Amino acid sequence: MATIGAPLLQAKEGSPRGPLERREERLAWLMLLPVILALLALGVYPVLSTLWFSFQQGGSFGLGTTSAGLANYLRLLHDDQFWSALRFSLLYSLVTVCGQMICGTALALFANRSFRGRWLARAAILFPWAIPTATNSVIWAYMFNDQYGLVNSLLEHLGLVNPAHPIVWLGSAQLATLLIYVLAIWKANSLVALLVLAGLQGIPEEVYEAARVDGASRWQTLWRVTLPLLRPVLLVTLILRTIESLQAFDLISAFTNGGPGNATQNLGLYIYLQIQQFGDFGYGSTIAVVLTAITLVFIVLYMRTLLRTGTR
Amino acid sequence: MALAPTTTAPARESSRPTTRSRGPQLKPLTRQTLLYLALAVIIVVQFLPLIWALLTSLMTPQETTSIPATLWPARPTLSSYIEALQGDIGRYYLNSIVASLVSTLVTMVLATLAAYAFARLRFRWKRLALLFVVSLSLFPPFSQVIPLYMVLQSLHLIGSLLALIIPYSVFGLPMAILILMAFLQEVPFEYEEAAALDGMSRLGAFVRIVLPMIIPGLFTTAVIVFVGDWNEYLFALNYTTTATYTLPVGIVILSQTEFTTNFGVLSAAMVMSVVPLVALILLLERRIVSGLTAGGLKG
Repeated sequence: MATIGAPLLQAKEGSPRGPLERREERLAWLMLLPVILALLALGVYPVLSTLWFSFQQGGSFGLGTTSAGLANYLRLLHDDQFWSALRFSLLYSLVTVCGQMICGTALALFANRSFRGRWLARAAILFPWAIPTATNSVIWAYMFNDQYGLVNSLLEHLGLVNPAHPIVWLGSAQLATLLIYVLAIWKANSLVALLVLAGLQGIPEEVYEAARVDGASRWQTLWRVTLPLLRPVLLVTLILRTIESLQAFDLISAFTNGGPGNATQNLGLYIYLQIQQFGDFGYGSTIAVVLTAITLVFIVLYMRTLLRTGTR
Repeated sequence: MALAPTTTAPARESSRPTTRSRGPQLKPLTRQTLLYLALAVIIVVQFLPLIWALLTSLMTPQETTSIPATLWPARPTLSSYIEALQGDIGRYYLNSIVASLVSTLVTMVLATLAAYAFARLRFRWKRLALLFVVSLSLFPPFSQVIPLYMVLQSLHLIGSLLALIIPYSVFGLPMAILILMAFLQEVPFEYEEAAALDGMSRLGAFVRIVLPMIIPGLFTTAVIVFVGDWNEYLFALNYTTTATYTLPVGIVILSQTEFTTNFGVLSAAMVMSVVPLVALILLLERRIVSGLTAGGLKG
């Protein structure tokens, strides 16, 4: 039932001895070499380099920096914009991941029923995944445009909004935040639904039969049988979504670009502001290190969950 | 395992609720109606942005900025599409296609080799190597953007499509490897054993026996990798100049910088950027689902 990360668990360690095995081992490393080298160069080196930059200051776009010691980290403590971005990042993660888990699971349960046209439901679930996040945010911004937008127009046609005083959706901090939550939940539902769907298909039919024989209602079956059996999948999905949501950038950048004011600025946008607008690679890297450290907690959790499900 | 056929559980629904199940009993017909009502709602909610972009792309410029918004184009016109393709959007489109296709190709070649080693060969430190590959895919791209920018700049690649192709090719690897491993593990060992008896080398068996057997899996993986590259935004935003903007970056910058946004042209660009992917989804829905779930899903 370990759908996710199953390859990781099936990787068996061998202890090659003979000449044949040694040749096999050599072939394996030969085939892995390009990938390992590429990931070292473009994955590991940049991470270490970012760490180094976080102890540098001054300069412009990374050139001519001087050693800063802990100055950048101390600067964080008194940077109100950093704290508000951090707060938004954490709140965004909490709200959207909860929403995604609930809506995604519901979608998966629906798409797991058998009915004519089920493929349509599955295609509909898949669709938000395939649409570019940034482009999608532009469409949403247009839909919620206060003057030419679809939503206000519909509300005006229904007589709910006075055309003279349209709702300025993206002009109010509260409404913009709310819409970002809705958009983020909408966009990532599919990812949750797909994983849960795979988990649902791993549950043997006999389990449901047994529940039915015992006289359990649909609701009871869901809460006492299905969801407990999905626990490992749900846990992994939860962690993966949390990691993703902490790193959110394109969705917000293309929707509100952090506005109005800095109301919807998260850590990703703040890093981008520092490095691209101010050219301050040192401070930008420092915030990136903080974000990575927060994410790291969840990466470790993810790895532990993967390895633990394997022992069952 | 992950690649189980998606056609399970037909028996459950066909048997109507028995008298033993509690709760409100709905007539079969009502339940059927509710089910399709729910399906309709889901489809509308999921596809609404695309439908709206599609409608807008067919409107005249006057209709796209009327107050209140026009909901239905009175005289549908393709002029927005023509304008989009003739303007900068056409170039962005080409950039996206080249960057995504080349990256997908490179990713697939490297990932297939690695996936075979992980799935089929025995060697020491295998689990550690795999853990390394997986964990790296989870690091925030922000921890890579700055140093990578400096590397690409020192190689004078900023402003060329290689500045995108190189990172895309590498960062697509972990996901592709995980998905391909799942497909490779479905191939019975007996084929390679038979090949070995015939005197074929491991590499020969891999290329001539195993690879042809997982062509559908290769294709599915390529689609998933391609979608990831096609939709990438952060690296594209940082490593491109106006000449190498990709479609997502171009669309966002057009929408945020122009004083009078041409919503018709923007919508046409969005529809064009999404339609190839939607076609792929409708065609390959089942296989993409199994591929995505096998890879544990990222972004």
